[in-house]
Amino acid sequence: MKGKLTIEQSGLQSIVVDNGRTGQQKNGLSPGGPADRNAFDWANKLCGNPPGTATIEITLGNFCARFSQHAVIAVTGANMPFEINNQQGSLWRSYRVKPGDTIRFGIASSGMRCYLAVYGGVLIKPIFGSVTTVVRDKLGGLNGNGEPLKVNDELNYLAVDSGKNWQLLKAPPSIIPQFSHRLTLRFIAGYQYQQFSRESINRLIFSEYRVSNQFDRMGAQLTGPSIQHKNHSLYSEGITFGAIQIPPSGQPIVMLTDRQTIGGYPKVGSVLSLDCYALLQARPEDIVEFTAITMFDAHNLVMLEKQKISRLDCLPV
Amino acid sequence: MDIKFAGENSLIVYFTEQNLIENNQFVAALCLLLEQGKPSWLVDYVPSYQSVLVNFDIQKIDYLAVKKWLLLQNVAPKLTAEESSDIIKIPVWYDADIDNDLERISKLNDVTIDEIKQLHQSTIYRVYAIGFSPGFAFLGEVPASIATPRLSHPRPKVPAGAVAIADRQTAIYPTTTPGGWNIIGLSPARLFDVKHQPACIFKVGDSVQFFEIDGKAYQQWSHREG
Repeated sequence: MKGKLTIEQSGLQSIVVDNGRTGQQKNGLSPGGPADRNAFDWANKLCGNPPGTATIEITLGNFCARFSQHAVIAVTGANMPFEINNQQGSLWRSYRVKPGDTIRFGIASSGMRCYLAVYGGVLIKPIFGSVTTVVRDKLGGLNGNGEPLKVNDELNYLAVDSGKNWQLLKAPPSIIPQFSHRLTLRFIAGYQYQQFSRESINRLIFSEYRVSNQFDRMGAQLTGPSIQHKNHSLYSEGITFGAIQIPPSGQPIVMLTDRQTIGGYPKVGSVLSLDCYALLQARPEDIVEFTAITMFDAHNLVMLEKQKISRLDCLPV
Repeated sequence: MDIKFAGENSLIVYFTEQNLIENNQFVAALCLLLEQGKPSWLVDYVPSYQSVLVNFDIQKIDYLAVKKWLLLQNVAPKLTAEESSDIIKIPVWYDADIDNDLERISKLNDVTIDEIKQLHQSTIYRVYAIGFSPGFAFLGEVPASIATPRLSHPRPKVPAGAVAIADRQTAIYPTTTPGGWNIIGLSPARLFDVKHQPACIFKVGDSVQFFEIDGKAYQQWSHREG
Protein backbone atom coordinates (compact mmCIF):
# COMPACT_ATOMS: atom_id res chain seq x y z
CA MET A 1 0.00 0.00 0.00
CA LYS A 2 1.15 3.50 -0.76
CA GLY A 3 1.24 6.40 1.62
CA LYS A 4 1.31 10.08 0.75
CA LEU A 5 3.58 12.66 2.25
CA THR A 6 1.92 16.04 1.85
CA ILE A 7 4.16 19.11 1.97
CA GLU A 8 2.68 21.77 4.27
CA GLN A 9 5.69 24.09 4.38
CA SER A 10 8.50 23.89 1.83
CA GLY A 11 11.20 25.97 3.53
CA LEU A 12 14.06 27.74 1.75
CA GLN A 13 14.70 24.84 -0.61
CA SER A 14 13.65 21.23 -0.20
CA ILE A 15 14.42 18.80 -2.97
CA VAL A 16 14.27 15.09 -3.71
CA VAL A 17 17.72 13.51 -4.14
CA ASP A 18 19.15 10.07 -4.77
CA ASN A 19 22.62 8.94 -5.85
CA GLY A 20 22.61 11.38 -8.76
CA ARG A 21 22.25 11.25 -12.52
CA THR A 22 25.36 9.63 -13.95
CA GLY A 23 26.22 8.83 -17.55
CA GLN A 24 24.74 12.02 -19.01
CA GLN A 25 27.52 14.53 -18.41
CA LYS A 26 28.47 14.10 -22.08
CA ASN A 27 25.12 15.76 -22.88
CA GLY A 28 25.73 18.60 -20.44
CA LEU A 29 23.64 17.22 -17.55
CA SER A 30 24.91 17.94 -14.08
CA PRO A 31 25.09 14.75 -12.00
CA GLY A 32 23.50 16.37 -8.93
CA GLY A 33 22.84 14.16 -5.91
CA PRO A 34 22.92 14.70 -2.16
CA ALA A 35 25.04 17.65 -1.00
CA ASP A 36 26.18 15.75 2.09
CA ARG A 37 26.43 12.17 0.94
CA ASN A 38 27.46 10.86 4.35
CA ALA A 39 24.37 12.18 6.08
CA PHE A 40 22.25 10.97 3.14
CA ASP A 41 23.73 7.44 3.35
CA TRP A 42 23.15 7.22 7.10
CA ALA A 43 19.54 8.41 6.77
CA ASN A 44 18.87 5.53 4.39
CA LYS A 45 20.77 3.03 6.50
CA LEU A 46 18.72 3.99 9.59
CA CYS A 47 15.51 3.28 7.62
CA GLY A 48 16.83 -0.03 6.33
CA ASN A 49 16.96 1.30 2.76
CA PRO A 50 19.52 0.26 0.16
CA PRO A 51 22.20 2.94 -0.49
CA GLY A 52 21.06 5.65 -2.87
CA THR A 53 17.34 5.47 -2.06
CA ALA A 54 15.47 8.73 -2.80
CA THR A 55 15.16 11.04 0.22
CA ILE A 56 14.29 14.70 0.83
CA GLU A 57 17.12 17.19 1.28
CA ILE A 58 16.01 20.14 3.42
CA THR A 59 18.11 23.31 3.30
CA LEU A 60 18.18 25.45 6.44
CA GLY A 61 14.75 24.31 7.67
CA ASN A 62 11.14 25.53 7.98
CA PHE A 63 9.89 22.39 6.33
CA CYS A 64 6.68 20.66 7.37
CA ALA A 65 4.96 17.56 5.98
CA ARG A 66 2.14 15.15 6.92
CA PHE A 67 2.12 11.36 6.55
CA SER A 68 -1.06 9.63 5.37
CA GLN A 69 0.06 6.11 6.33
CA HIS A 70 2.36 4.26 8.70
CA ALA A 71 6.01 4.86 7.91
CA VAL A 72 9.52 4.48 9.29
CA ILE A 73 11.59 7.64 8.95
CA ALA A 74 14.98 9.07 9.95
CA VAL A 75 16.56 12.52 9.89
CA THR A 76 20.32 13.13 9.63
CA GLY A 77 22.61 16.04 8.80
CA ALA A 78 22.56 19.64 10.03
CA ASN A 79 21.55 20.46 13.60
CA MET A 80 18.01 21.30 12.61
CA PRO A 81 15.43 21.01 15.38
CA PHE A 82 12.31 19.04 14.47
CA GLU A 83 9.12 17.81 16.06
CA ILE A 84 6.91 14.87 15.27
CA ASN A 85 3.40 15.86 16.40
CA ASN A 86 4.85 18.58 18.65
CA GLN A 87 7.21 16.08 20.31
CA GLN A 88 10.84 17.04 19.90
CA GLY A 89 12.75 14.54 17.73
CA SER A 90 16.40 13.52 17.65
CA LEU A 91 18.65 13.44 14.63
CA TRP A 92 20.52 10.28 13.62
CA ARG A 93 17.80 7.81 14.65
CA SER A 94 14.67 6.25 13.17
CA TYR A 95 11.05 6.81 14.18
CA ARG A 96 7.72 5.24 13.40
CA VAL A 97 4.96 7.57 12.31
CA LYS A 98 1.22 6.92 12.09
CA PRO A 99 -1.40 8.17 9.63
CA GLY A 100 -1.94 11.90 10.15
CA ASP A 101 1.40 12.47 11.91
CA THR A 102 3.21 15.69 11.08
CA ILE A 103 6.95 16.39 11.02
CA ARG A 104 7.93 20.04 11.43
CA PHE A 105 11.46 21.46 11.16
CA GLY A 106 12.79 24.69 12.68
CA ILE A 107 15.91 26.52 11.53
CA ALA A 108 19.29 24.77 11.68
CA SER A 109 21.60 26.12 14.39
CA SER A 110 24.67 24.68 12.65
CA GLY A 111 25.13 22.93 9.33
CA MET A 112 22.90 23.67 6.35
CA ARG A 113 21.16 20.53 5.13
CA CYS A 114 19.18 17.63 6.57
CA TYR A 115 18.02 14.39 4.99
CA LEU A 116 14.55 13.07 5.69
CA ALA A 117 14.50 9.42 4.64
CA VAL A 118 11.40 7.23 4.53
CA TYR A 119 11.48 3.43 4.51
CA GLY A 120 11.23 2.34 0.85
CA GLY A 121 12.13 5.82 -0.36
CA VAL A 122 10.17 8.54 -2.07
CA LEU A 123 8.53 6.98 -5.13
CA ILE A 124 9.03 9.06 -8.28
CA LYS A 125 9.62 8.09 -11.90
CA PRO A 126 13.34 8.50 -12.63
CA ILE A 127 14.82 10.44 -15.54
CA PHE A 128 18.03 8.86 -16.86
CA GLY A 129 17.97 6.49 -13.91
CA SER A 130 17.66 9.18 -11.24
CA VAL A 131 15.00 11.25 -9.49
CA THR A 132 17.58 13.80 -8.28
CA THR A 133 16.41 17.40 -8.59
CA VAL A 134 18.79 19.67 -10.48
CA VAL A 135 17.16 23.09 -10.47
CA ARG A 136 19.50 24.68 -13.02
CA ASP A 137 19.05 21.77 -15.48
CA LYS A 138 15.24 21.87 -14.97
CA LEU A 139 15.38 18.10 -14.43
CA GLY A 140 14.23 15.64 -11.77
CA GLY A 141 12.07 15.94 -8.68
CA LEU A 142 8.36 15.27 -8.26
CA ASN A 143 7.26 16.56 -11.68
CA GLY A 144 10.54 15.86 -13.48
CA ASN A 145 11.08 19.56 -14.22
CA GLY A 146 13.67 20.35 -11.56
CA GLU A 147 11.31 22.31 -9.32
CA PRO A 148 11.96 22.14 -5.59
CA LEU A 149 9.10 20.83 -3.44
CA LYS A 150 6.25 23.24 -2.85
CA VAL A 151 3.26 23.45 -0.54
CA ASN A 152 0.57 20.79 -1.28
CA ASP A 153 2.95 18.58 -3.26
CA GLU A 154 2.23 14.92 -2.53
CA LEU A 155 5.04 12.40 -2.51
CA ASN A 156 4.25 8.68 -2.60
CA TYR A 157 6.01 6.25 -0.31
CA LEU A 158 5.66 2.62 0.70
CA ALA A 159 3.39 2.34 3.74
CA VAL A 160 4.68 -0.05 6.41
CA ASP A 161 2.46 -2.72 7.93
CA SER A 162 0.88 -1.23 11.07
CA GLY A 163 1.02 -4.59 12.89
CA LYS A 164 4.66 -5.28 12.16
CA ASN A 165 7.19 -4.78 14.92
CA TRP A 166 10.11 -2.56 13.88
CA GLN A 167 13.41 -2.30 15.65
CA LEU A 168 14.11 1.41 15.66
CA LEU A 169 17.76 2.31 15.25
CA LYS A 170 20.25 5.04 16.05
CA ALA A 171 23.60 5.77 14.40
CA PRO A 172 26.82 4.95 16.30
CA PRO A 173 27.91 8.17 18.09
CA SER A 174 31.35 8.06 16.45
CA ILE A 175 29.96 8.96 13.01
CA ILE A 176 27.93 11.99 14.12
CA PRO A 177 29.71 15.07 12.75
CA GLN A 178 30.58 18.18 14.72
CA PHE A 179 30.02 21.31 12.64
CA SER A 180 32.72 23.92 12.93
CA HIS A 181 33.20 27.38 11.46
CA ARG A 182 36.70 26.32 10.37
CA LEU A 183 37.20 23.68 7.73
CA THR A 184 40.23 22.05 6.19
CA LEU A 185 39.78 21.19 2.55
CA ARG A 186 42.14 18.38 1.56
CA PHE A 187 42.80 18.44 -2.18
CA ILE A 188 44.52 16.38 -4.85
CA ALA A 189 46.78 18.41 -7.12
CA GLY A 190 45.67 18.03 -10.72
CA TYR A 191 44.50 19.67 -13.95
CA GLN A 192 46.70 22.79 -14.52
CA TYR A 193 48.48 22.48 -11.15
CA GLN A 194 51.93 22.48 -12.76
CA GLN A 195 51.22 25.75 -14.58
CA PHE A 196 50.75 27.66 -11.31
CA SER A 197 53.83 29.25 -9.78
CA ARG A 198 55.18 27.88 -6.53
CA GLU A 199 54.30 31.21 -4.96
CA SER A 200 50.65 30.86 -6.01
CA ILE A 201 50.39 27.32 -4.68
CA ASN A 202 52.03 28.35 -1.39
CA ARG A 203 49.62 31.23 -1.08
CA LEU A 204 46.67 28.87 -1.58
CA ILE A 205 47.96 26.41 1.02
CA PHE A 206 49.18 28.88 3.66
CA SER A 207 46.26 31.34 3.56
CA GLU A 208 42.83 31.39 5.08
CA TYR A 209 39.82 31.82 2.84
CA ARG A 210 36.27 32.74 3.69
CA VAL A 211 33.11 31.23 2.24
CA SER A 212 31.32 34.09 0.44
CA ASN A 213 27.59 34.61 -0.12
CA GLN A 214 27.94 33.17 -3.60
CA PHE A 215 27.57 29.67 -2.33
CA ASP A 216 25.04 27.05 -3.30
CA ARG A 217 24.85 23.43 -4.46
CA MET A 218 26.61 24.42 -7.67
CA GLY A 219 29.76 25.83 -6.09
CA ALA A 220 31.38 27.87 -3.35
CA GLN A 221 33.08 31.15 -4.18
CA LEU A 222 35.81 31.79 -1.60
CA THR A 223 37.43 35.11 -0.77
CA GLY A 224 41.01 35.65 0.34
CA PRO A 225 44.48 36.19 -1.09
CA SER A 226 44.32 36.00 -4.87
CA ILE A 227 45.97 33.23 -6.83
CA GLN A 228 47.54 34.22 -10.12
CA HIS A 229 47.62 32.20 -13.31
CA LYS A 230 49.20 33.27 -16.59
CA ASN A 231 46.60 31.75 -18.86
CA HIS A 232 42.96 32.48 -18.16
CA SER A 233 41.47 31.31 -21.44
CA LEU A 234 41.80 27.58 -21.64
CA TYR A 235 39.63 25.46 -23.87
CA SER A 236 36.68 24.37 -21.77
CA GLU A 237 37.16 20.96 -20.17
CA GLY A 238 35.30 18.55 -17.90
CA ILE A 239 34.83 19.71 -14.30
CA THR A 240 34.91 17.04 -11.62
CA PHE A 241 33.37 17.18 -8.12
CA GLY A 242 35.40 19.48 -5.89
CA ALA A 243 37.44 21.06 -8.71
CA ILE A 244 39.15 24.27 -7.51
CA GLN A 245 38.75 26.85 -10.27
CA ILE A 246 40.83 30.01 -10.37
CA PRO A 247 38.97 32.69 -12.37
CA PRO A 248 40.70 35.92 -13.47
CA SER A 249 39.88 37.52 -10.08
CA GLY A 250 42.18 34.93 -8.46
CA GLN A 251 39.49 34.04 -5.90
CA PRO A 252 39.04 30.25 -5.83
CA ILE A 253 35.69 28.60 -6.58
CA VAL A 254 35.11 25.03 -5.41
CA MET A 255 32.75 23.31 -7.87
CA LEU A 256 30.17 21.16 -6.10
CA THR A 257 27.20 18.82 -6.59
CA ASP A 258 25.17 20.77 -9.18
CA ARG A 259 28.22 22.10 -11.05
CA GLN A 260 28.18 22.72 -14.78
CA THR A 261 29.86 19.89 -16.70
CA ILE A 262 32.52 21.92 -18.54
CA GLY A 263 34.32 25.20 -18.03
CA GLY A 264 37.41 27.07 -19.10
CA TYR A 265 38.94 28.41 -15.88
CA PRO A 266 42.30 26.94 -14.80
CA LYS A 267 42.11 24.51 -11.89
CA VAL A 268 44.74 23.59 -9.29
CA GLY A 269 43.12 20.24 -8.44
CA SER A 270 40.08 18.93 -6.62
CA VAL A 271 38.90 18.85 -3.02
CA LEU A 272 38.38 15.41 -1.45
CA SER A 273 34.70 14.42 -1.70
CA LEU A 274 34.39 14.02 2.10
CA ASP A 275 35.53 17.61 2.60
CA CYS A 276 33.14 18.83 -0.12
CA TYR A 277 30.28 17.31 1.89
CA ALA A 278 31.52 19.23 4.95
CA LEU A 279 31.82 22.40 2.86
CA LEU A 280 28.22 21.97 1.71
CA GLN A 281 27.21 22.05 5.39
CA ALA A 282 29.21 25.27 5.94
CA ARG A 283 27.91 28.82 5.92
CA PRO A 284 29.01 32.14 4.44
CA GLU A 285 31.83 33.69 6.54
CA ASP A 286 33.12 30.27 7.64
CA ILE A 287 36.89 29.93 7.27
CA VAL A 288 38.52 27.31 5.08
CA GLU A 289 42.11 26.23 4.61
CA PHE A 290 43.55 24.06 1.86
CA THR A 291 45.98 21.22 2.33
CA ALA A 292 47.39 18.96 -0.38
CA ILE A 293 47.11 15.19 -0.14
CA THR A 294 48.18 12.40 -2.49
CA MET A 295 45.84 10.34 -4.64
CA PHE A 296 46.64 7.33 -2.40
CA ASP A 297 45.65 9.23 0.73
CA ALA A 298 42.43 10.29 -0.97
CA HIS A 299 41.56 6.71 -1.91
CA ASN A 300 42.28 5.45 1.60
CA LEU A 301 40.17 8.15 3.22
CA VAL A 302 37.21 7.62 0.91
CA MET A 303 37.37 3.82 1.18
CA LEU A 304 37.56 4.06 4.97
CA GLU A 305 34.41 6.20 5.03
CA LYS A 306 32.60 3.77 2.74
CA GLN A 307 33.66 0.90 5.03
CA LYS A 308 32.23 2.75 8.03
CA ILE A 309 28.85 3.05 6.34
CA SER A 310 28.75 -0.54 5.16
CA ARG A 311 30.35 -2.22 8.23
CA LEU A 312 29.30 -0.20 11.26
CA ASP A 313 25.98 -1.38 12.62
CA CYS A 314 23.25 0.92 13.78
CA LEU A 315 22.37 0.51 17.45
CA PRO A 316 18.92 -0.32 18.83
CA VAL A 317 17.11 2.68 20.26
CA MET B 1 48.13 11.78 -24.94
CA ASP B 2 48.79 13.48 -21.64
CA ILE B 3 46.94 12.05 -18.63
CA LYS B 4 46.58 14.10 -15.47
CA PHE B 5 44.78 13.76 -12.16
CA ALA B 6 41.46 15.58 -12.05
CA GLY B 7 40.14 14.37 -8.70
CA GLU B 8 40.00 11.39 -6.33
CA ASN B 9 37.93 9.41 -8.84
CA SER B 10 38.84 11.00 -12.14
CA LEU B 11 41.61 11.41 -14.66
CA ILE B 12 41.66 13.90 -17.51
CA VAL B 13 43.11 12.91 -20.87
CA TYR B 14 44.52 15.80 -22.92
CA PHE B 15 45.36 15.33 -26.58
CA THR B 16 48.42 17.21 -27.76
CA GLU B 17 48.35 17.04 -31.56
CA GLN B 18 49.13 19.86 -33.96
CA ASN B 19 45.76 21.59 -34.02
CA LEU B 20 42.36 21.77 -32.38
CA ILE B 21 40.49 19.79 -35.06
CA GLU B 22 42.92 16.90 -34.78
CA ASN B 23 42.70 16.94 -30.98
CA ASN B 24 38.92 16.96 -31.15
CA GLN B 25 39.01 13.99 -33.57
CA PHE B 26 40.99 12.08 -30.94
CA VAL B 27 38.45 13.13 -28.31
CA ALA B 28 35.57 11.74 -30.40
CA ALA B 29 37.56 8.53 -31.04
CA LEU B 30 38.25 7.97 -27.32
CA CYS B 31 34.55 8.56 -26.52
CA LEU B 32 33.62 5.89 -29.05
CA LEU B 33 36.01 3.45 -27.34
CA LEU B 34 34.50 4.26 -23.93
CA GLU B 35 30.96 3.81 -25.29
CA GLN B 36 31.80 0.54 -27.03
CA GLY B 37 34.13 -0.90 -24.40
CA LYS B 38 31.81 0.02 -21.49
CA PRO B 39 34.46 -0.77 -18.86
CA SER B 40 32.69 -1.84 -15.65
CA TRP B 41 34.50 0.83 -13.61
CA LEU B 42 33.36 3.72 -15.82
CA VAL B 43 30.94 6.04 -14.00
CA ASP B 44 30.80 8.95 -16.43
CA TYR B 45 32.91 10.84 -18.95
CA VAL B 46 32.96 14.41 -20.20
CA PRO B 47 34.37 15.14 -23.66
CA SER B 48 35.33 18.67 -24.60
CA TYR B 49 37.52 20.55 -27.11
CA GLN B 50 40.74 18.63 -26.57
CA SER B 51 40.21 16.61 -23.43
CA VAL B 52 38.11 13.81 -21.97
CA LEU B 53 37.41 13.68 -18.23
CA VAL B 54 37.03 10.06 -17.11
CA ASN B 55 35.18 9.34 -13.86
CA PHE B 56 35.76 5.90 -12.37
CA ASP B 57 34.42 3.89 -9.44
CA ILE B 58 37.21 3.70 -6.86
CA GLN B 59 35.53 0.71 -5.24
CA LYS B 60 36.23 -1.22 -8.44
CA ILE B 61 39.56 0.10 -9.69
CA ASP B 62 42.43 2.46 -8.84
CA TYR B 63 43.75 5.25 -11.03
CA LEU B 64 46.82 3.29 -12.10
CA ALA B 65 44.68 0.62 -13.74
CA VAL B 66 42.48 3.26 -15.39
CA LYS B 67 45.57 4.99 -16.72
CA LYS B 68 46.87 1.69 -18.06
CA TRP B 69 43.53 0.99 -19.75
CA LEU B 70 43.62 4.42 -21.40
CA LEU B 71 47.23 4.03 -22.56
CA LEU B 72 46.48 0.62 -24.08
CA GLN B 73 43.61 1.94 -26.21
CA ASN B 74 44.30 2.40 -29.87
CA VAL B 75 42.71 5.82 -30.22
CA ALA B 76 42.38 6.14 -33.99
CA PRO B 77 40.59 9.28 -35.13
CA LYS B 78 38.41 9.20 -38.22
CA LEU B 79 40.40 11.57 -40.43
CA THR B 80 38.38 11.25 -43.63
CA ALA B 81 35.95 13.99 -44.59
CA GLU B 82 32.42 13.38 -43.34
CA GLU B 83 29.86 12.15 -45.87
CA SER B 84 27.26 14.78 -46.62
CA SER B 85 24.52 12.47 -45.33
CA ASP B 86 26.18 12.56 -41.92
CA ILE B 87 25.77 16.31 -41.66
CA ILE B 88 23.06 17.29 -39.19
CA LYS B 89 20.99 20.04 -40.86
CA ILE B 90 19.54 22.67 -38.57
CA PRO B 91 16.86 25.12 -39.81
CA VAL B 92 17.15 28.78 -38.77
CA TRP B 93 14.61 31.56 -39.12
CA TYR B 94 17.05 34.47 -39.29
CA ASP B 95 14.28 37.05 -39.64
CA ALA B 96 12.48 35.93 -36.50
CA ASP B 97 10.92 38.78 -34.57
CA ILE B 98 13.05 38.42 -31.43
CA ASP B 99 15.57 40.64 -29.71
CA ASN B 100 18.68 40.02 -31.83
CA ASP B 101 22.22 41.26 -32.48
CA LEU B 102 22.35 41.22 -36.28
CA GLU B 103 22.86 45.00 -36.37
CA ARG B 104 25.70 44.76 -33.85
CA ILE B 105 27.47 42.00 -35.80
CA SER B 106 26.94 43.94 -39.02
CA LYS B 107 28.46 47.13 -37.57
CA LEU B 108 31.40 45.48 -35.78
CA ASN B 109 32.42 43.46 -38.84
CA ASP B 110 31.33 45.80 -41.64
CA VAL B 111 29.16 43.15 -43.31
CA THR B 112 25.52 43.29 -44.37
CA ILE B 113 22.84 41.27 -42.59
CA ASP B 114 22.38 39.20 -45.75
CA GLU B 115 26.09 38.41 -45.74
CA ILE B 116 25.89 37.33 -42.09
CA LYS B 117 23.11 34.86 -42.98
CA GLN B 118 25.01 33.56 -46.01
CA LEU B 119 28.31 33.18 -44.16
CA HIS B 120 26.66 31.48 -41.21
CA GLN B 121 25.03 28.89 -43.50
CA SER B 122 28.06 28.38 -45.73
CA THR B 123 30.17 26.62 -43.12
CA ILE B 124 30.06 23.00 -42.00
CA TYR B 125 30.62 23.18 -38.26
CA ARG B 126 32.06 20.64 -35.87
CA VAL B 127 30.58 19.92 -32.43
CA TYR B 128 33.60 20.62 -30.22
CA ALA B 129 31.92 20.31 -26.86
CA ILE B 130 28.51 19.99 -25.17
CA GLY B 131 27.85 21.72 -21.86
CA PHE B 132 26.73 24.96 -20.18
CA SER B 133 23.20 23.52 -20.10
CA PRO B 134 21.71 20.18 -21.23
CA GLY B 135 22.21 19.81 -24.99
CA PHE B 136 24.08 23.10 -25.51
CA ALA B 137 26.59 22.31 -28.29
CA PHE B 138 29.61 24.52 -29.01
CA LEU B 139 29.98 24.57 -32.81
CA GLY B 140 33.03 25.89 -34.62
CA GLU B 141 34.39 27.65 -36.35
CA VAL B 142 32.37 30.61 -37.54
CA PRO B 143 33.96 32.51 -40.49
CA ALA B 144 36.33 35.15 -39.07
CA SER B 145 34.42 37.87 -40.96
CA ILE B 146 31.37 37.46 -38.68
CA ALA B 147 33.13 36.42 -35.44
CA THR B 148 31.82 38.73 -32.68
CA PRO B 149 32.72 38.98 -29.00
CA ARG B 150 30.14 38.17 -26.32
CA LEU B 151 27.80 40.93 -25.13
CA SER B 152 29.19 42.93 -22.24
CA HIS B 153 25.81 42.59 -20.50
CA PRO B 154 24.34 39.11 -20.91
CA ARG B 155 20.60 38.90 -21.45
CA PRO B 156 18.75 37.56 -18.39
CA LYS B 157 16.63 35.44 -20.72
CA VAL B 158 17.57 33.99 -24.09
CA PRO B 159 14.65 32.05 -25.63
CA ALA B 160 14.93 28.32 -26.32
CA GLY B 161 15.95 27.82 -29.96
CA ALA B 162 17.94 31.07 -30.23
CA VAL B 163 20.87 30.67 -32.64
CA ALA B 164 23.83 32.76 -31.58
CA ILE B 165 27.50 33.60 -32.15
CA ALA B 166 30.31 34.17 -29.64
CA ASP B 167 33.77 34.79 -31.09
CA ARG B 168 34.27 32.00 -33.61
CA GLN B 169 31.66 29.71 -32.08
CA THR B 170 27.98 29.31 -32.78
CA ALA B 171 25.29 27.48 -30.83
CA ILE B 172 21.58 26.93 -30.42
CA TYR B 173 20.19 27.54 -26.91
CA PRO B 174 18.27 24.31 -26.08
CA THR B 175 16.34 25.87 -23.20
CA THR B 176 15.51 29.38 -22.05
CA THR B 177 18.51 30.51 -19.98
CA PRO B 178 20.51 33.67 -19.35
CA GLY B 179 23.11 34.17 -22.08
CA GLY B 180 25.68 36.56 -23.48
CA TRP B 181 26.01 35.33 -27.06
CA ASN B 182 24.99 37.43 -30.08
CA ILE B 183 21.57 36.24 -31.25
CA ILE B 184 21.09 35.90 -35.02
CA GLY B 185 17.93 33.81 -35.37
CA LEU B 186 15.57 31.19 -34.07
CA SER B 187 15.57 27.44 -34.73
CA PRO B 188 12.55 25.15 -34.27
CA ALA B 189 14.82 22.08 -33.92
CA ARG B 190 14.42 20.14 -30.69
CA LEU B 191 17.99 19.62 -29.46
CA PHE B 192 17.44 17.89 -26.18
CA ASP B 193 14.54 15.72 -25.13
CA VAL B 194 14.59 13.37 -22.15
CA LYS B 195 12.01 11.16 -23.88
CA HIS B 196 14.32 10.53 -26.84
CA GLN B 197 17.17 8.08 -27.10
CA PRO B 198 19.74 9.54 -27.44
CA ALA B 199 18.45 12.56 -25.55
CA CYS B 200 20.74 14.99 -27.36
CA ILE B 201 20.80 15.13 -31.16
CA PHE B 202 24.51 16.06 -31.13
CA LYS B 203 27.62 14.36 -29.87
CA VAL B 204 31.17 15.68 -29.84
CA GLY B 205 32.70 15.31 -33.32
CA ASP B 206 29.41 15.56 -35.27
CA SER B 207 29.11 17.80 -38.35
CA VAL B 208 26.40 20.44 -38.43
CA GLN B 209 25.15 22.89 -41.06
CA PHE B 210 22.47 25.55 -40.84
CA PHE B 211 19.88 26.39 -43.53
CA GLU B 212 17.46 29.28 -43.72
CA ILE B 213 13.70 28.92 -43.31
CA ASP B 214 10.91 31.51 -43.20
CA GLY B 215 8.32 32.17 -40.52
CA LYS B 216 5.75 29.84 -42.05
CA ALA B 217 8.23 26.94 -42.22
CA TYR B 218 9.25 27.75 -38.64
CA GLN B 219 5.66 27.33 -37.47
CA GLN B 220 5.31 24.02 -39.33
CA TRP B 221 8.59 22.69 -37.89
CA SER B 222 7.69 23.79 -34.38
CA HIS B 223 4.33 22.06 -34.70
CA ARG B 224 5.95 18.83 -35.92
CA GLU B 225 8.65 18.86 -33.23
CA GLY B 226 5.91 19.35 -30.62
